[in-house]
Amino acid sequence: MDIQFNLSTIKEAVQSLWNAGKDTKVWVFHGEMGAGKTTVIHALCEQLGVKQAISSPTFAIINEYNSPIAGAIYHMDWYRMRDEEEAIQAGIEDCLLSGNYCFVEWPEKAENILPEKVFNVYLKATDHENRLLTVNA
Amino acid sequence: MSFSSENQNETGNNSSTENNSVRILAIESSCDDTSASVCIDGRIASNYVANQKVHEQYGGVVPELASRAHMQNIVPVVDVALKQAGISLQEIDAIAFTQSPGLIGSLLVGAQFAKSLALALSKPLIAVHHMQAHVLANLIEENRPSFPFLCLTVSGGHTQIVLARSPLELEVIGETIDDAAGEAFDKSAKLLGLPYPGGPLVDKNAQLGNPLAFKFAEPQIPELNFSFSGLKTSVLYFLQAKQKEDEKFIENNLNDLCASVQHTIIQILLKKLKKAVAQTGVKNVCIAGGVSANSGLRNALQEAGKKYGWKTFIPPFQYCTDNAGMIAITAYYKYKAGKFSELDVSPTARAEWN
Repeated sequence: MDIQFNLSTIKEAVQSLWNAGKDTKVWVFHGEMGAGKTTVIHALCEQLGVKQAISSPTFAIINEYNSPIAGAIYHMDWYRMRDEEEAIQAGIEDCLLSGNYCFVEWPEKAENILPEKVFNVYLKATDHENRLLTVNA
Repeated sequence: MSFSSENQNETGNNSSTENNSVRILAIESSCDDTSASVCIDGRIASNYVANQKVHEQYGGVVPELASRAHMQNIVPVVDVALKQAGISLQEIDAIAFTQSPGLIGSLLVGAQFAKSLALALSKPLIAVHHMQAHVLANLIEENRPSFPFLCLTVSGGHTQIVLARSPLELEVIGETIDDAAGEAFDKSAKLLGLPYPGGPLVDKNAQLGNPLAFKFAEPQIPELNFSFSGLKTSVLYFLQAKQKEDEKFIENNLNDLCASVQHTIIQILLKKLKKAVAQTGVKNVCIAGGVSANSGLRNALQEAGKKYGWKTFIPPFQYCTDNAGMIAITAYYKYKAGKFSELDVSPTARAEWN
């Protein structure tokens, strides 16, 4: 599934994304810096009724939110992880095994601790405003 | 000294603090610095910070290294803070610690230590929210804002505008919806090829450059919220386009690039601060957090103060970055309000305010 979107159509895009991926708990977001990973997760969590501040976890590694629709959500950024060992020590595995939804940015940094079944989301900038979201569910 | 004098019990009523001063030991371990502070009657008697230099070579704070280093640092750091304050453990009236938000492994070390100490000494425990403490760092010095005041808290992980009505009535009225201001500095610095930590280097180079040399996208975000991810993307595409024409574009324009990025970030911050003043009518304006060390931001706040008739406040540098002094001052007000925690309180990475 491919979805073209920009900031004015992101709500519809994340709703389609949720419909496509909601049966899988661990979602991994692939894309370069500036591709829109944090922005998409922000819009998705908002769509799921999260009332807390949703922001980049680059600094905190793990942000935890609460959604009336999806329950507890772990928003993670593995950008600063060097390997799996470090990710485990940072408490990431506990989140992955918790049975709650996990939205992971920069999963490439510690791929081997991901469970077998993940929902892959690929993000790409097609120009300054528009983004292409691809999932192979 | 209007705050501490409230506590003086002139009528001699029975009170837990009667004839006694309030002495608090505070521990902060939310990120990469281990810090301990002693606060005596609202005065910071010591504020000792052990910095973990180890992270510079890894381009950021490494959580596992951070918590391991906290474990090594915590006993000596507390010991130094007590000695500098000239006080013994037995004279402490309460133990405070940072409960949230932060790196969970790091928070656990401080929380566990504080709980153990409280249990061993039979003293009450006070859990402190790191972001509230940043705001109340403004109450440490004699030259402090009167209530109500606004505080722009800017750091590597956070960007918030807080309306403070009293020490314990704090309300977040604006915050970032994506990257924090400090993250915008660090990520832009990375795009410019500067080493970690990039923020201070951007500041240093910016002082030699023209802030209006280049223009980057400014976010259009409603209300008092912030967004910095668009700026990051704007810088990225700008550099990509320019480097196609001139391979050495960054090298040849580094100072102007730093000055322009810094100027844009500061304008984004100040625009919302102005809006917050207009909305609330509050003209006591403070900044806090690690990014308040940025010279451009400090100057811009002071200029805005002169221009718009604000009273501006910036805590001394040692209380801007992560430090236990701000945890101690917050705990002091919580102590006076009787806001203690049970021993089963646990640290959390969640950022919301209780």
